[in-house]
Amino acid sequence: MSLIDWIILSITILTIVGYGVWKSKHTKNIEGYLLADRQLPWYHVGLSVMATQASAITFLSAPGQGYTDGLRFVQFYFGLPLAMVVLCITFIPIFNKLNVFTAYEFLEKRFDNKTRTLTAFLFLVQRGLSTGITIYAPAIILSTILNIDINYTIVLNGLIVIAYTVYGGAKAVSYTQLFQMSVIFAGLFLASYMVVNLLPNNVSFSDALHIAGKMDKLNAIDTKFDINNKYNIWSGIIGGFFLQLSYFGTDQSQVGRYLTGKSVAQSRLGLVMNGLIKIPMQFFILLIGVMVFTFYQFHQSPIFFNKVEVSRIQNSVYKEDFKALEKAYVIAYNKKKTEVNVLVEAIHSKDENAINTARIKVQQADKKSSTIKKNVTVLMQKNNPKADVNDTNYIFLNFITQQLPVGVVGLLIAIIFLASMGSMASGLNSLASTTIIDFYKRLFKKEESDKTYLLASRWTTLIWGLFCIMVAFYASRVGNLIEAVNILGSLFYGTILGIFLVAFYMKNISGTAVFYAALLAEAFIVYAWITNLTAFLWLNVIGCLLVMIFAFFIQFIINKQTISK
Amino acid sequence: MEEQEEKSPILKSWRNVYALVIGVLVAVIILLYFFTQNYK
Repeated sequence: MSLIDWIILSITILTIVGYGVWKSKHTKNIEGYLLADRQLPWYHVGLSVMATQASAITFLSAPGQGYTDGLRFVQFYFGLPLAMVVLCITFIPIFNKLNVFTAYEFLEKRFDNKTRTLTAFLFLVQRGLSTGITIYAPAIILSTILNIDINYTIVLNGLIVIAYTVYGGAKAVSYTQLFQMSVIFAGLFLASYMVVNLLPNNVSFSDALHIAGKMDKLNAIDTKFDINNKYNIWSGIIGGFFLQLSYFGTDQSQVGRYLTGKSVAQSRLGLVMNGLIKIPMQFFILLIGVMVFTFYQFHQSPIFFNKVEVSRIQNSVYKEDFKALEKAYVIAYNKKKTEVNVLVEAIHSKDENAINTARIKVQQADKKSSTIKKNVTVLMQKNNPKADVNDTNYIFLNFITQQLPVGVVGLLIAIIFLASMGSMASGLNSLASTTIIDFYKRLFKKEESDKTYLLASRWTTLIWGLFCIMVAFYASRVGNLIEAVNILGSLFYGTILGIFLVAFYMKNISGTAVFYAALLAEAFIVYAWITNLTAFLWLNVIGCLLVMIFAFFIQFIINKQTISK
Repeated sequence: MEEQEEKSPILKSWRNVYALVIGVLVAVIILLYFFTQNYK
């Protein structure tokens, strides 16, 4: 990275973080620290909710996913607008009426303390692990740019965010997120313009879409129902709805964002904004990845995008084998490029037969390149069984640093950092809220001063931050990061959502019934995941429905026993 | 939070706001369907 890029990166981050810290300097009580005094307008709430969900993973992993897998991941978000409507109708008014700090407080009012504690515990496990993974993502950047061990960059990144979150609390989180999202939107438009601009002169944006389409990258909608297919319209609408409802309705990192709204209407409008913008935004990010894919049809892509692993194999006993694969890759690329140019000519001529013939040849050439890449990963694993052979997370990063002009690189790297900071800060803030409100204040120190709780919140944020750093050390083993976070969420969200839906809609169910129902459902979900019973999005639906069904039957048995007594 | 701000500040009622969200979702899915078919 050039000096100008470093200056732009530093100024962007310092300005935004400085602004957030400055706006939060008057935080003197627990409500201000955890919920920004419940005084924020709808656009703050909306952008904060979006920034919390859009972590660095979104900007590193999603374009990589677009590159390798096309647009089909966009279907994952189809349930989100529906979930926003349900949240506005049911969750927001209830949380507002009870004036809660965390979503789990409501469960004690509706059921009992053990149900509240179990749900809060499930949240802490899930969110603690997920936040750890989100710390790992931006650490990849520094590791690649500075060419140093990723463990050092994890510690550096983590400590910066911990310091900023411990000091600022929810106010700092929200005020920084407002600017973070503005810069992110601007940067995304710039990135998309740049990638299209880098295509050859005879290839228009429309041609690029046709090329991507012919190589099965514009597969935004898959209407075929298949329970084992991760992304189709049905898993997106049904499974995605349950996942998003659970995430936004019961995950404190999100609940804590819209509880900062100064009225029910402002909180609702914030979620409505998210419901309208999220799918187009995600489509746009995936499309950038697809355009990067098209770019690399005309320019040779690296044989493997993770430079650290390439460097390792180049300095190993397998270096000659690797060189041979590199040579074969160059030959395969040149052949593919010729075929791609034939395809472009065919597209210009609008001759369907010629297009179809060229498409088959391009796909065959692409398959050959993919086989060589696969052989490279086999070689890497042979050299080092622990090698990170999934380079999806490095694709966009590599493209930014190698292909974009000075200045733009710094801005885009800043975006990835800012996105990471936003979601990490929300994560740490919510972990602290839940630990303090649902455990410390509820179980250990019931009647202490505001100052004591504020201090305890800061210490808890610090401890959770250190825990997340530890988790980040192991995150490199989980493959595609965005998928890992969603799988992790799906393991717990269904059960947690089931508890909340029983609370809202099944008025006759007691705390004891829902508590044991949740334990049984969670055990089944873990079993279903281990045995690979179904695609992960369906775990949300199954977990939620099982809690409701088990709770119904357990309550039936309890009622029967009570009558017989 | 204040209960009196319950009324929707846009589109006259919350029902209309929710209808807009669902309508936009349906429109986006239809657009993406034709987008997929067009470039297949």
